[in-house]
Order: sequence, then C-alpha cells, then structure tokens
Amino acid sequence: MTEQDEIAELIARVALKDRKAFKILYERSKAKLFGICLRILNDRGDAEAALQETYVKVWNKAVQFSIGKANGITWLAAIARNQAIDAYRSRKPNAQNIDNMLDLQDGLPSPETAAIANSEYKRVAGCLDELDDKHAIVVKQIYLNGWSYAETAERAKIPLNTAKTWVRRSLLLLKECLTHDK
Amino acid sequence: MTNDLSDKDEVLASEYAMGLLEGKAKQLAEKRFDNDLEFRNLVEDWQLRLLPLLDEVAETTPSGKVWSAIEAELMPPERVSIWKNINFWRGLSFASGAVAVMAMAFIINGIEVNNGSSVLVASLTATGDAPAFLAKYDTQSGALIINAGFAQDQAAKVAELWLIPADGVPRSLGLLGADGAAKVMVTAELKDTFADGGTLAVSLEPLGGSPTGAPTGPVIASGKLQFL
Repeated sequence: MTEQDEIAELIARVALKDRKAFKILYERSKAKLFGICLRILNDRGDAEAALQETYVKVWNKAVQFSIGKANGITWLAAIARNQAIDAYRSRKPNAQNIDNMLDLQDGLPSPETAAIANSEYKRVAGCLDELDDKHAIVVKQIYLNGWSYAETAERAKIPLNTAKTWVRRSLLLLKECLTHDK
Repeated sequence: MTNDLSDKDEVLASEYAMGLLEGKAKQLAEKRFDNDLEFRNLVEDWQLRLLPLLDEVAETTPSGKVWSAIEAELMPPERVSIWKNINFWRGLSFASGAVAVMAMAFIINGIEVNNGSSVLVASLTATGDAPAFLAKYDTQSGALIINAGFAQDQAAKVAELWLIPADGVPRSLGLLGADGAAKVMVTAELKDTFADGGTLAVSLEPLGGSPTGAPTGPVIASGKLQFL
C-alpha cells in the first residue's frame, strides 16, 4: 500500500470518528502541514494556531473526503493552505514584520530546491521553467506564500489587472505543459 | 482541450485551488465546490497538479502543545467513541431494516449519500443484535472499507473477510487489521459478483490467514450488502 493510500484510509477512518486513526493521521502529516502553514505565516505561534484549526477541520470534515477519488495528502494540504491563507490575509498589513517580507528574488530556485529528487516535482518545476521568469516566481509566491492578487501587484509593481492576466495565463500554460508532458 | 481564458470555470477552479479568491467570490466558489461535482473535479485536478510544488516547503515539527489543544477542543475525555457506545448499537439494532441501513449510511458516508446508486453497505452482525462490523463498498471504484464496531481481542488469530456471492462459494477479500479495519480494492474479476450484492462474512483464521483458501475458523459476523 502506498503512503498516499494509507493517508486516504486514515481519513476514511477519521470520518467514522476513530480517534486512534486521527492520532496516527496527525503524526504522519503534521510536519508537512506545519511546514505549509509556517511558510505562509512566517511565525511559529500563528502557524501552530492555523495547524490546530486545520486538524479540527480535518476531524469535522473527514466525511466529505471521498475515498478512491481524491488523494489524501492533497486534501489535507488544501485545508492547511486555506487555513493559513485566511490567517495571513486577516492580518493587518502594518502588523507584518518588514524583515519577514519577501521580494520577488526570493522565488528564484535555491540550491536546496534544485536538489529535490521527486520526479513529480521535477515535472512541475520543468513546466514552470518554461514560463517567463517573473511569471513563474509569482505563481510560486502565490501558491507557497499565500500572496493575493493585490499583494502580487504591489510586490511586482504592476497593475492589478496585469497581475491577474499573468497568473491566469501562466496557470493555463502550466496545465497545458503538464498535460502534454504525460 | 480547454486552454483558453474564456473557459471561466477552469480559470475559477485554478484561482480557487491557488487560494486567490477572496470575500464573496471565495464564498461562492466554496459553495460550488460542495455542491457541483464538475467544478469540484476541476478544483481537485488543480490541487493535484500543484501539489508537487509543496515539496519545496521544509517539513517542520510543531510543538507538542498543538496536539493537546486539538484533543482538548475535539475530544473531551468524558465523551465515548461512537464505536464503543453500546447504547448506540442497541438503538441501531432496534431500528427496522431500512432505517438501520440509512443510519449506517449516514455514519459511514456522512453527507455523501447522494450518489447512493453505486454504493453498497453491509452491517455484519454476530448474533443478530449489535453490528460487529460495518462495510461500505463503492461499485465504481471497487473500494471496500470495513470497520469494527468493537475492539477485537483475538491475539492468536486474525480476522479474514470473505465475500459470498450468489454461487455460495466464499472468496477471500483479505485480512483485517488488528483493529478490525481494512480497505480492500476489489479485483475486476470479483467486481461482477458484487454487482447485485452478496454477503460479507468475517471468520477467525490462524495468523497469516486461511491456509486452504476457504474459511476454516468460526464465522464471527456476517451480513448482506445492500444498496443505499
């Protein structure tokens, strides 16, 4: 059984309010989901609060997970991202520590990211490479750091509508590339 | 192929999956995700497509107090798990057939009972009272999930799950875990025999499962598969 199947099975058992399965699911997925929250919120306390809310939702919404179709980690990651992004957006802009602000340069591949061996990652990264550099960086900042369109426009110093066009076009090109590449 | 900015649902699904929607637009998309299967599929495709990028995010261990807080919020110690609550099962066994099956469907399936036509459920009982196992089988994907109603303590034996189709010959579906639960993908060959239901049974077998390919130990529970 693959790790993904195991996660899906655990979620199915959590849907039946199986507490033991819930604890196992937490132990298996907490580091991945905490990483996601921390990357977006850039603050341990806030990320832990988001992580807590994430698992409360997992417990309450597990019945909505349809086994056999959705992938367990994808489902968990979507809940964690959603939670962290909501917390990030609800912050007052001036409450953000200026030292924690990222600029566009931070989206460039670092030596660590270049070393990720996973072939699925390489496929997506390869397709992002085919985009205009700035567009690829923006897509990654939105997905990994929770940028909104408004924040994208501000950071990239472009009009809001341009930001929307960049992102929508980039995502469709990404999809096309991933579909062709199969 | 839909690769064009005029495909509004595709664009919306990608924005929803990216977390770009805000306010009213986000609420509307959430509602569609919950109620519109086609839209949900588009969003899930995007989630799956983007997921590998999360490999860039360093896994980090949260502090132990997070689990304590989750536990305190969700699982007050005085609350008994539904599986261990005898009264719940007694109540269920008093309910008449169809009502019991609907109740089970609700428990097993939560709100996802709407596409019931492809889902079979079975309540496997030992002595005609409380269900010992509940099983749900999705005829489309072939996924069969079974859970034990009560903790199993049969250390020297394993529980083996059998399908008994119309021909009456038991086919092994595999062993249950120590907790009495399993998820099985039913083979294409066996799928046909499930088409119009059948009986599921659990027998106790030597460690490693039945040596003969047919049940050798006592059958501890059995029940008919029924459509929701």
